[in-house]
Amino acid sequence: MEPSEIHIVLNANSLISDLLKYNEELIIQKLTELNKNFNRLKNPVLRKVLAKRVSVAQACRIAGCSLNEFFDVLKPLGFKAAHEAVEVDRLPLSLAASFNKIIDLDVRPILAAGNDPLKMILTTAAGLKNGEVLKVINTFEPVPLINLLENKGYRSFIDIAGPELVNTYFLKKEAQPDELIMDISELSVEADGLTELMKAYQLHIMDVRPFQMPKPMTMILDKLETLKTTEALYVRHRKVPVHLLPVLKERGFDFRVMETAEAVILFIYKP
Amino acid sequence: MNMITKQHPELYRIVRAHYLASAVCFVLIGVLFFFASADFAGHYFQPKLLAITHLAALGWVTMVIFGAAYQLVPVILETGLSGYRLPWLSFVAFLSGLVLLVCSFWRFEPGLCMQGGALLLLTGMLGFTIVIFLTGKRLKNKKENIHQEMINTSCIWLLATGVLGVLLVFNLRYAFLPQDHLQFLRLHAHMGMGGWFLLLVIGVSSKLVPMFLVSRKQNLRLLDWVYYLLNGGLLAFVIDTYLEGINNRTYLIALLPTAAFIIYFIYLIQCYRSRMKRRLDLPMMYTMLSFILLLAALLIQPLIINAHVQNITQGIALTKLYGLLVLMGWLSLLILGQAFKTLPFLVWLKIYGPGTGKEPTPLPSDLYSQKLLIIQGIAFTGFILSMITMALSGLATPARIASGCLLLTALCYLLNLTRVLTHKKTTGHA
Repeated sequence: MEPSEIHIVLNANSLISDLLKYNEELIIQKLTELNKNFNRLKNPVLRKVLAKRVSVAQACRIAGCSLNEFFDVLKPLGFKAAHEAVEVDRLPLSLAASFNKIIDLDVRPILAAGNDPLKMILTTAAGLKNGEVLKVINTFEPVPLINLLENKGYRSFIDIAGPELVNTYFLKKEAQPDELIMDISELSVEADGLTELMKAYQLHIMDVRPFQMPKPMTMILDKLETLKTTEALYVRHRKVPVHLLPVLKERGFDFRVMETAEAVILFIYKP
Repeated sequence: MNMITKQHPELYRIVRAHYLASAVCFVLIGVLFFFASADFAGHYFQPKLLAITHLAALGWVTMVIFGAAYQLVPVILETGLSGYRLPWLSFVAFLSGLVLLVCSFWRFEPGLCMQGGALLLLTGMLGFTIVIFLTGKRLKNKKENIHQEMINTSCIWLLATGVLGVLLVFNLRYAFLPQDHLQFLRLHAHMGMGGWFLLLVIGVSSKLVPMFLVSRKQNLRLLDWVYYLLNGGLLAFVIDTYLEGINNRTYLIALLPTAAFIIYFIYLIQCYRSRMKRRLDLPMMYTMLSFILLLAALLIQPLIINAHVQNITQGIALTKLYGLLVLMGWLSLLILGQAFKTLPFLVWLKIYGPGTGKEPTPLPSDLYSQKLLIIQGIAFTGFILSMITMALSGLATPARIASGCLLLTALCYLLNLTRVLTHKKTTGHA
């Protein structure tokens, strides 16, 4: 596999064997350049025994290098350290207005009493219904919690309300309300080929990339049902949804397809 | 997040070669059917029918399945194909093996030609299996996936069928197998039809049908039942029939795959009912109808078992009908429909791909001729009706009508396929 094809996210708990899967020789060579102690990985027996049992953090401790140094070596090979992978979205105002119901959970007293609020947060999050949003009130950005819930299919937003006051919003990804925007300049680069056509519509933005087929198709069709004639849909997709196209025609919609670096863009409109 | 918007150019060439070779085999079957029309009156184990059966099972059906699998398995597993050289090697081995085997069956010379052909075919199958397994291994999330499980298991059944086939070919010359040759032929046929074709078709279609219909509901737990019932039934049949031949227990064993099929049918109906695409297109209609032909074949099973247990000669005509319904009925109609659900997408992605968004593009379904597809359907209906008459009566006239209808069907199919493959870029919705 070419190194450029890799975009694997690593964290301190990733096993060494997970990482060697991609390009054993090159990775070992680079690590040895960083620290002589990684030489042991060249021994096939040691490699077999150790790689499956040792995490990145443990390896760094054993070798005597820092985690940051370790990740810096791997980055040019296409790996990403997990703490960089979390993109904490700031809360857009338009979105806050579209929440149906906000459930407040103030964890400050729990933390002050020396208890761990994690279990309570997880139970509350699991009980969220469609359109409901969990608001965790805290004194700092709860990065590990965001990591955990994002992996469980939640979307999060952060609103720094003041010094020592951070609100974090969680909602289920499926229930994610889409953003209605009027100004397409926000999309300018992505939508280069479509700009002329899109000017006539108000756009709903949708991102269906996290979902397995045929879910993206049903999500798009559901959304189209609610569209007014002056509105159009702008979808970020993982691939061209070829099977959706005939259904769009059947329902009197027209579409344009284009490709950007991160997604296939599908612009769906009523001509 | 891995994107698979770009289609590997080599993939298009491999898939095209398989579809075209398969369509040519289909036309040839139509021609050979005519020359063998007198032979359909006799027993099913005879040179010309063996040649036609293998041309159909391997050249027409398996060939197109190989091609479709190279296209669809990456779609189902959302990853790229493991490589592009092995599929070509497998194709060449398979095709040359097929020519040798079919020619030597037709003239019935169980010598080097037949043996070499059988071994080459097995090599081709092995190549295919390796590609599918390696492609599955590329998956990053190792989550249990029933579709992949079915596809992998069906490859194992394919290899088992191939190995037994090779043994049977050598047995014609050296007669070393401990049991009756026909006994093994039965096992060979059912491993191929149930383990390879049925399991693979279920594995692939259970993922694709909901995509084609845009279904909300997919009850994947039903598929687990299908998997175990079908494989269990086949294993029981292979072991029991090997030891005891067809007997009273076979009725019970036949119930397992039938139950599996009925559960699968329920799964399909749920997908159909929860569909968001309202209008059913012609290729999808052919697909749905094809399963009714399979159901008909399954209903004949108890009659055949009965004929064996009672030892009456009627069984031979029924066995011919059974085989024809599965191979030339169910599988053929399935391909005649599905080819136009899959191939146009491949060509469409190659020509229009994710465009620049500047101009509208035609739909993938605009690439084939609707008219030819209708004629193909009418000709095929004529073929099925005359084929059933032929199998039950053994007369030569319905056999000739059947061969004429089949040839017309095959020519429509080949023509339409060529039309899709030679599509030139146009803009605007046709």
